[in-house]
This record gives sequence, structure tokens and C-alpha cells, in this order.
Amino acid sequence: MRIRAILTVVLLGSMLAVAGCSTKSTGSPVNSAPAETGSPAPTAANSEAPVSPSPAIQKESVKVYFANDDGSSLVEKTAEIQYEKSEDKYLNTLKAMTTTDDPSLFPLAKGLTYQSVELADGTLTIDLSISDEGRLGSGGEVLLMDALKKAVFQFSEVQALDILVDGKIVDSLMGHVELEHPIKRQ
Amino acid sequence: MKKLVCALLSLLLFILILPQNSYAATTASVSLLLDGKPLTSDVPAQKVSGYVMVPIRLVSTSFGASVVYQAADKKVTVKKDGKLIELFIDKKTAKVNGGTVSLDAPAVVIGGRALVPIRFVANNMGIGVQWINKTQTVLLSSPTGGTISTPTPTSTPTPTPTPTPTPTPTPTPTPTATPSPTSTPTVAPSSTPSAAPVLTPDPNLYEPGTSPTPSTGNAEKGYTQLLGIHLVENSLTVYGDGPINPKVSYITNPDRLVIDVPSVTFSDLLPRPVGAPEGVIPVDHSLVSKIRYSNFDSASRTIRIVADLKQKTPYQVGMNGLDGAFSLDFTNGTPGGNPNGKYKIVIDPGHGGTDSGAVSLNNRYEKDFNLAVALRLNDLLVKVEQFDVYMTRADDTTLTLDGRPAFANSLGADAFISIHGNKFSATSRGTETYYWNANSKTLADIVHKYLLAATGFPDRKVQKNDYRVVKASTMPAILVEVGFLSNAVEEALMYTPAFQDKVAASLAAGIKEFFNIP
Repeated sequence: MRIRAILTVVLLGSMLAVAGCSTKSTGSPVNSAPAETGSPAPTAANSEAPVSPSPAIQKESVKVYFANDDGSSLVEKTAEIQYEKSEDKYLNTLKAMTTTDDPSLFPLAKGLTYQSVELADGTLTIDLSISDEGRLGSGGEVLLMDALKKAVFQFSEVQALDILVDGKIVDSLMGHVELEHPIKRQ
Repeated sequence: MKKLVCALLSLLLFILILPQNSYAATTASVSLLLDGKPLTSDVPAQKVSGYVMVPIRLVSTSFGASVVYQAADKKVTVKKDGKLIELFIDKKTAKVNGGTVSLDAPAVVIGGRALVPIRFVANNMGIGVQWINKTQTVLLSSPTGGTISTPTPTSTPTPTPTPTPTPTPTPTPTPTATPSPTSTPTVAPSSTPSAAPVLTPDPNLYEPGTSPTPSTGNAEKGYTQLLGIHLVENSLTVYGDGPINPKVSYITNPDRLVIDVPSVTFSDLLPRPVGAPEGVIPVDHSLVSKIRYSNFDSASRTIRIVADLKQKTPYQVGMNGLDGAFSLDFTNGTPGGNPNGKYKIVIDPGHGGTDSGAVSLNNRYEKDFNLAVALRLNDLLVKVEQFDVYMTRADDTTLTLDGRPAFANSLGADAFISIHGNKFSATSRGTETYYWNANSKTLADIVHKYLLAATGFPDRKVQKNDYRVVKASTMPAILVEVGFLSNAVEEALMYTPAFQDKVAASLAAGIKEFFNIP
């Protein structure tokens, strides 16, 4: 079960890395979060994720965050991600949090679609969209904010996190918790 | 001139210290045993007019009580486990938890130190007292045979500038948890000539032995600076350039509010009192006669602020200091300072307009549920004579998150209630009530009790979380998550008028109980 989960994440990661690779040339946003389509992600990954042909791909084990089933606490997991460019490390880490096939976990970030993730001068700017499905209650928003912060601040080079929604500075992700611009590493 | 005052003060302290030592050498003493162990004190326990009196330091070190002697008021305050004993020097009446009781022997001051009648104090703390005349011994027995904490302070009092843990006579772990000056690290268990005087300093004065050097600048590096103490309308606010965590005590006779702010330093805006024991901020206010502040405990960098009150004044904590501002709001019986004496209630239907909030299982919007309940609550509260009711939105309008508490704050509202529907996984169920500021917990507890009974959903309890609307509101403010729109059972109920009526009625009942309205 666990092996399958890890395998899925690895496959998914490689798929995303490939996707990120190809979108680069077209200049379109690096947006391929599988949760948006509504189709179960694992099957998509299994059916069409070949072993990445690129020799420059790096593998890394990162921490990813979910909630437990009833939304009372954050759960830390490890995921294997792959990336070619270093900035995709952040994107692929965040994407690994949008889905899980572990029924005891709740993917807090499942409603998030990342439009861009960029690191500049120690500040990681995430521009994202939130689906109607993805808007959580107050407790869920707190956990999601914690998950995002913990995920990006595991990388020591990230000193601050700025989250934009559809390119705009907003006062809150989901209308309960104040969103600071930027959120500084504590 | 300032130097002269300082010198005189030092001399005064010196005079206070001197006779104590000579006194200790010449007085025949009484021995004390607590659960079989001898108790020692720098000033011996002694008989005065036939009654055994002990120095207050012994009460704090041996019984684990917090003891304060206020020389100016001739008053000794003993606190332990919710018991408040107030003794007055040379007065044969004392107060126990506010009730007046008569005494056989009053507290006395001998050689500059306060002594209290052991039997009275011990009995009120549940400690058994037996007098063995033959050996002139007091046998003390703690309620459960020795559970009273008897911290053993180190022998040399060193007023070091570090706020690191030092032996404190009170059982509380933080030296700032009680307003008692006895919890300062200058505990001297044995009588040494160089020991700091046992006489607890008047709160108006510097801690003896740690008198600040007048040459020191206002601010000290590494500590949060206090930037000001402002009294505006019915709020007393203390400002720091960082988070502050004050402890507030209300002291009677005369009535005053004592605010101890640990780990802070003075600033150019709030200058260190030099040449005077305390800084005074003159005020012109119906309730407060003046505000004083002093370098109360140099070791823990505690600045004490005292607001002298003209009358008994109820208060509640407004801003909690985490954002650098800590406020006390005087309530004084007249709600909100409102001339017509009505409580102002702000109802905040969560989300609205372009922010739909959560989307329910059957694609209904949370904002609509919130507004439906809020409008019903409004209808119920406007019928209550004692309430003026306001809504942050009464239709499908987009509001900023900050605009909601700002609206309530600008109104000088007395309560703020934000109504929400929850969303998580399909199996998540239950009712939650959130608060953040300390002044909001009672409202949260009361409303949650009614709300839970009305929904009949699982109890997800009263929780503390720093949601913007409850954090930024200065009055008691709560956010209710009535139920889960993502759960089939709860969603089905939540959009029915009958259920919304029931929820609104429960919220109204909770708010009324909070304000003691039948």
C-alpha cells in the first residue's frame, strides 16, 4: 500500500516534470495539477507516465503535508519528487500535496492549481487558483496554510513565502485566516 | 537634585535594613515545624502579645504562597490556590476572598518587616496548626501530608540581570505569573548582613538592591521597548515595539489596576524614571486618577504600570499584546459607554459577494447559509430591549476581512459574532466555536453550549484560533462553524428554514446569557 503510494508519487512527479519541461517552450503556465480534472490521478499516471528520458533529472525526497481524516491535525509524509530545473523542486513538492491515495489522509491542497512558482531573493512567490471545490472551512484553511508554509520552508533557501491568488494580492486564501505578504520564515 | 533624591532613597533603604539584623540577634525565637521539618527564616518567628507571628517571607517560601507587602497601604496580601487573604497592619480585621473576618492578633511591622499571625494564615490555607507551649514550637501539618511545595532558595541573593530561571518561592513556573514582588529572585533564607531586605518593596519603589543606575539610557538592547501608555475613552492601552505579555491584577483598597509587563525596557517615548521612583502620567479621566510606572523588577525586566482608580471599575482585556498593543477596556456597568445604556451586538455573516465561501455538497454557497442565519439572529436580537444590533452585511455584499472587525471596533461594540458553515471531508461532522482574545472565551463557552444543543451535531468544542475577525476585534468576539456543508447529513439540515431558526435562537440565547439578560 505504502509502496504503491510512493510509486504513484514518483510516477506523478516524473510526469509533472516532463509536463513542466514541455510547457517551458510554449510559454504557457506550468499548470497541470491532476486534481482539477476530477479523474482519479493514479490511473492517469499509471497509463501514461513513461520513465523520463531526460538524463538531467534529479530525484529528491521531500516532506509533504496532508491533514488527517477529520481535519484535526496536520500529517507529515515523505514523497520522492523529480525535477530538472531547481525551481521545479518547489512546484513539484507543492503538487505532491494536491493528491493522495491514502484514505486516512485528506489532501488539503487538492483545490489548488499552481499558475507559477518562482524563487527570487529568497522569496518564493506562488501564484495559484482555488477551485470552488477547494475552498475549505476555517479549520481547514488553517491546516492548509500550515501545510504550505511547512512545505516551502523545509528548503533552507526559502526565507519568505508570498501567495497570490489569480495573480492578485488578497487578504485571505479562503476568508478566515489573514494572509501576510510575504509570510516570513519563523 | 536627582542624585540627592537617590542618595536619600538609598539611605532610607539602608536604615530599613539595619535594625532588622540587630533585631534578629536579640529576640528569643519560636521554632516551627512543617510536617516534621524545621522551618527557618531570616527574621525568627516570635510571639507578639501571646500570638506567634512569622515573617511573610516564610509564608511564601514554606507554604508556596504568593505574598505581597504594600508598605504604603499597610497591607499584606497572601494568595494561594484561589485563596486570597488580605491582612492590614495593626488592624484586627482581615479579608478572606473579599469577606471580612476578625482577627485575634493583627499583622505587625517589626524592624521594618511585616509579620503575620501564623495560625490565621495557616488555617486559611488549610494547614493545621498546633502549639506546643513547653518547647515553644508550632507544629504545622499540610493538608495532604507534605504536598505543599517548599522550594529551597539559594543562599546568596544575586540580582543578576539575566531573566533565567531563579528560585521562586511561588509554585508557578514563571516569575511573572503573579503580581507578587516576592517572586523576585532576591530570596534570602538566612540572615546575612548583605542580604536584600525581606521587606517587600512598595510597588512604587525600585526593587531594593537593584536600584537602577541613573546613567542608564532609556532603552536597553535586546528587549521589547514600551512605547507608551495611553488612556483614550474607556480603554487603557500599553504599546510595545514587539509582542508584550502583561499580567493584570485588580487590587482594592484603594482600587487600582496593576499591569506587570515582563521582558521589556523603557524607551525615549516612555522614559526610564530617573531620580524618582516612578514615572507619572497625568490623566484627566472619569475613572482613572493617575497612571504610574516603575522599573519593578530589574532581573526579569518587568515594568509595572499602576492605574489608580477613582472607583470600583470592572474591566476586560481587549487587545492581547501579541501585536504589540495590550488594552484593558473599562466596562463599569454601563455597556459600551453607550449613553442609552445598550449593548451593541455586531453580527457578521461570513464571506459574501464575490467570496462565496465554501461550496456545499449540493453546490450551495456557504455565504447564503451564513446570511440566512444572521438575518434570523438579527430579527431575534432587535427585539431585546437592551441590545442595539448591527450587521457587517445584510445582503450579498463583498467585504474585506479586516473591514469586519474594524466596523465592530469603530462602533465600540460589546460583542461580535461571526457565522460560518464548515467544509472539510465528506465524513467530517460537528459544531465548532472559535475565539482568540482572552476576553472572548466566556462568550465562546456560553454560545457554544446553546449552539451545540440546537444543532445536535458532534461536539468539536470551543477552540482557539487566530482568525482575522476574532483576533482583530477588541470586544468579546467569536466565530461559529455551525456544521459541515461537505457532509450529507449536516448539509441537508443546514439549508432548511427550521434548522436555521433553531440555530439563530440558540445564538441569541447564548448572547443574552452572556449579558445576563433573562
